[in-house]
This record gives sequence, C-alpha cells and structure tokens, in this order.
Amino acid sequence: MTKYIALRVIQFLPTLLGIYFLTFMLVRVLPGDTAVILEGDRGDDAAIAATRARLGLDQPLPTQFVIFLGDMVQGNFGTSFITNRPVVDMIGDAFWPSVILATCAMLVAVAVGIPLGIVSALRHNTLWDNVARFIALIGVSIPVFWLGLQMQILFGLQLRLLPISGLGYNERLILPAVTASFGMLAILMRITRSSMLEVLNQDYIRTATSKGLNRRTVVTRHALTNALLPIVTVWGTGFASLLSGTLLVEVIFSWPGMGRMLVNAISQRDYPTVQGLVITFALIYALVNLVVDLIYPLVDPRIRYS
Amino acid sequence: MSARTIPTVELAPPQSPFKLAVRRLFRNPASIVGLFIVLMVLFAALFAPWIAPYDPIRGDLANKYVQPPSVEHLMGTDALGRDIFTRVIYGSQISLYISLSAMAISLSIGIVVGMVAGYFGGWVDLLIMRGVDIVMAFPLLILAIALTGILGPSELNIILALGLVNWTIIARIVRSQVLTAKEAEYVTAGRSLGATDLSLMFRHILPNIIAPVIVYATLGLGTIILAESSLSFLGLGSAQQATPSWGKMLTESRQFIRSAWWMPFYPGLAILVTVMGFNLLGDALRDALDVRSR
Repeated sequence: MTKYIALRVIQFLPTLLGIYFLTFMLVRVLPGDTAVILEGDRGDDAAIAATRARLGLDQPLPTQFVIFLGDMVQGNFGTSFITNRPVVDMIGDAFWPSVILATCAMLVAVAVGIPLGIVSALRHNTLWDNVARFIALIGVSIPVFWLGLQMQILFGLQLRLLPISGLGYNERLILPAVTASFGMLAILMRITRSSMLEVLNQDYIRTATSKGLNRRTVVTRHALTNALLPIVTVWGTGFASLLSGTLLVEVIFSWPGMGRMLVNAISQRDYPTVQGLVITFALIYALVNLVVDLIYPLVDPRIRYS
Repeated sequence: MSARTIPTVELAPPQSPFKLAVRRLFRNPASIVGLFIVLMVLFAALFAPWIAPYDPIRGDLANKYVQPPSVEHLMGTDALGRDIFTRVIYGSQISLYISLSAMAISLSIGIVVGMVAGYFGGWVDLLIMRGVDIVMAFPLLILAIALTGILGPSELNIILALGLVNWTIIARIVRSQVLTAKEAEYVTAGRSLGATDLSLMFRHILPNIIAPVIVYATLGLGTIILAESSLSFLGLGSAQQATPSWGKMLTESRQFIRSAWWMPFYPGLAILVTVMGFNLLGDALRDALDVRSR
C-alpha cells in the first residue's frame, strides 16, 4: 500500500513539471512583446530594454524556464501588471471564496445527484426514472451562465426571495451554489444509476432477497455499498465540470473568487495574474485527481495495487 | 463444357453492420428527438437568410425600444430594435461554424496522435501519452479561456483554442482501440501481403475503429458548443459588435434582466436545446453502434 502511494506520488511529478512547462509556454506564445505592452506608448527603447531585463525576458528560453520554475516552487508568482500587488496575495484573497462556493456546490451535487440516481435505478423505466434522466440530460446540456441568469430573474427579481449578487456566507450562497452544482449533479446521477442497475442484477442481490431480507436492507446494505464504488472514478470529471461551473457562476453572481479574477485578468492583459491562476487551477485539479487515484483502492479492495 | 445449374439456397439477406445500426437508431425515441434537433439546427444555419423574418444586424428604428414577444416579433426585440428570433436563427451559423471547425482540428490531431501511439507502442506511446496526460491535467474550460485570452478575442482564436484543448479525449479513445485492433487477423494478413504501416493504420485499422470516434465526436460537439458560448459570453468571441452569437447575445442582455426577460431567455434556450440534441444523438449512437461492448 505504501509502495502504491509512493509510486503514484512519484508518477505525479512529471505531470507537475508538465503543468509548469505548459503554463510557461502559454504565456510566452502571446503575440507582442510583454515589455512593450507594459511600457505602453510612452516607453522609449531604453525603458523597454530595462523592463525586459527586469522581467528576465532578455534571457534565453531554457534559462527563463529554470528561473520561472525556481520562482514557482518558492511560491513567487510575480507581481500583477495592474495592481502591482504580488499575485500570490491576490490569489490568497480569492482562494477561500472559490473553495467555499465549490464545496457547497459539490455538497448540493452529492445530496441531490446520488439519491436521484438511486431512485432512478430502483424505479427503472418508470416515470420517475424518465424524470430523473431528463434532469441529468439538462444538467449536462445547460449553459451554466444562462442558468445563473434565469435563477437571478426568477428567485431574485420576480419572487424576491434571494439576493442575486455579492459575497456572503449566508443566503447569498444559495443561488450560486445551486447553479454551479448542476453539471456535477448530472454526472453523479448518471453513474449512480448505471452502477446501481448493474449491481441489482448481481447474484448476491438475488441471494439476499431470496434469504428473506427486506427490500430496504437489500438496497441499502447490499446494493448501495457496492454501487457507490464507481462514483469515485467519475469524481475527477465531475470536479472539472464543477470548476468551470464555479468560474462562470462567479462572473454572473459577482462572487470575488479565482474564476472572476481570471476573467478580469484576461480582459486587462494582466499576464502574471493569468499565469498564477492557471497554475493554481491546474494544481487543484491535479491534486483532486491524485487523491481520487489514491482513494480508489481503499474503497474497493478488489483492486490490486500495482 | 455445359453450364450446370447449381441448386440455390434461399438465405436471409445479409445484414450489414451499418443497416443494423440504423435500424437500432430509429427504434429509440430519444435518438429520433436528438436527430430532429440536430437537423433543425443545421437547417436553420444553412437557410437562415430565407427563414429569418428580419435583418439580424440592422435594427428597425421604428421599434427602438425593447419589445416583448408578439406576433410580429416571436421572441421580442433587443435594445437596438433587432428581432431576437432572427438573431437566434443566425446564431446557429456561428455556433455550428465554430464547433465543427474546432472538432475538425481536434479529430485531425487526436486521430493521428492516438493512431501513432497505439500502433507503434513502446517509448513512442509512453512519450505521447505523457503529453496527453499533461494537457488533460488542465481543466478544459480554464485552458481554453487562457488560450483565447492570450491569443486575443476572435472567432478564429476560439476555434484554435477549443481545437487544441479537445483532441486529448479523441487521442485516448483511438489509442485504446488501436491497441486491440492491431492484433486482429486482418492486420497480420495485410502486413504479410506487404501493406505499409501508413496504409495499415489509415486504410485498414481506421475504418474499423471509427465507430467510437463518431460517438465521442457527436458528444464532444455538445461540449464544444457549450464552451464556445461560455467564451463568447465572457467577451472572448468575435470583436465585431453586431455578430449574433448566442453567448454574446446573453452578455448584452445582462443589463436588461430587470426589464426584458425575453432578451436573456431565448438565446440560452437555443444553446440548451442544441447541446441537448447532440447529447441525445451521441448517446443514441453509442447504443446503436454498440460501442461499449467492442
């Protein structure tokens, strides 16, 4: 087991290096010279050369990458072109609002998606099943930002039940979290349903039923515990959907998280901030996938560590 | 030599896998709905100038203010007096143009990369798949936003960004299919007859593994349309102010959500229905082509 964990963590390192490399290249392919953009029209050649030297842009690319990597490892993401604050501090401010919003959305997705999948499987090919499947279809097809706008119109402006924008860890969280949850909810519902249907056809379920256990015990004790295992495998996909959902929701609901910060940084051409955020998002996503990989053999003893 | 008549045996007409798939496809009501939606969107895009009742770009100065839906304007008008129904119809052109172009890029890269990795195996495979893992380490939409933002907002850059981000899934599918297909007898037979690697890969193996690729391309189109509308919504789409893209129409409507519900409603509904159509069709194709059991 320890060996398995160690191996996975070691395998994670090249991915990490790749993330840094790709982000590094991403910001270097931008058209135009960063130093010229920074200095604007007022900069003469000397000022541009000085800025270029200050940013290390006069070095050859491999040297730049090594310096970049050193900075990244020390958590030095550079300084924002716009606010002149360290990017790390800015990400620090936006981190928790995003994490809390995403966590609440995930809780909604789990609390609705998994029961919906179970009901759908137990009432296979009935009206309930069709309704649940239709909800899942909408969940994977709906544009999150449009859903957010409709939520604002319905619950905020027409019914006047909930506030439609701004940060707050109270009723302000409800609309953004529900909106951001839809994609992951649909993914969880579909995997729960198909996995539950598969498990319900297994011999041990028939055995459990035929030895006289009541339906409730068969479903909760025997079917559900086994059916829940594959859910872990789609967690990564679900989480990706959650991340992009959260990003768009932050823009719609004026939620000061990392997603809104990324969109603002892009429109202001604030490349150090864009770079820092892209790396942060990729690291979070990669870590979640690593944890899923590590957890999977724990929840399913049939998987051998290799 | 005199011709002898050979007694004939009445056989059931041979069932081609294609015919079988088509029969399965049309037995499923969900797939008919999906196919209908996709064809409808395609029809709207191709014949927009004949279907749309008004001009999508020039507003009617007579109705300068936003008008609610009526018989003349089925989905109402926007702040410049432009008919929203017309703009929604024209929006299908942009949506399909961008998503189909991006998918063409993804398919070209994905098929070649996956084929090479799976066919040659060994260190080539290892190296390529590590690269795929790295691209997949980024959440798709965030990479696409960063790429479009850095390249500059335009339709072409959205196509490039989405095309360059989406090929990894195709590459993985093609690779895993090639891994089993290359052991098949027809490949060994082809090789012993002197077929080149290139011909084995693209003339013999590719047609045999194309079914799952078609399925995921169909499902992927839904994903790309969603991503495209998100990018346009965030202001990363066409720089031209007047272009009727569904995502951009939603951005423009945000300041009117208090007074004109129809402005943000219909363009989003168009996205939802279109993406749903591709998802339904993709799921149905998966069942009809029996992709999972392969």
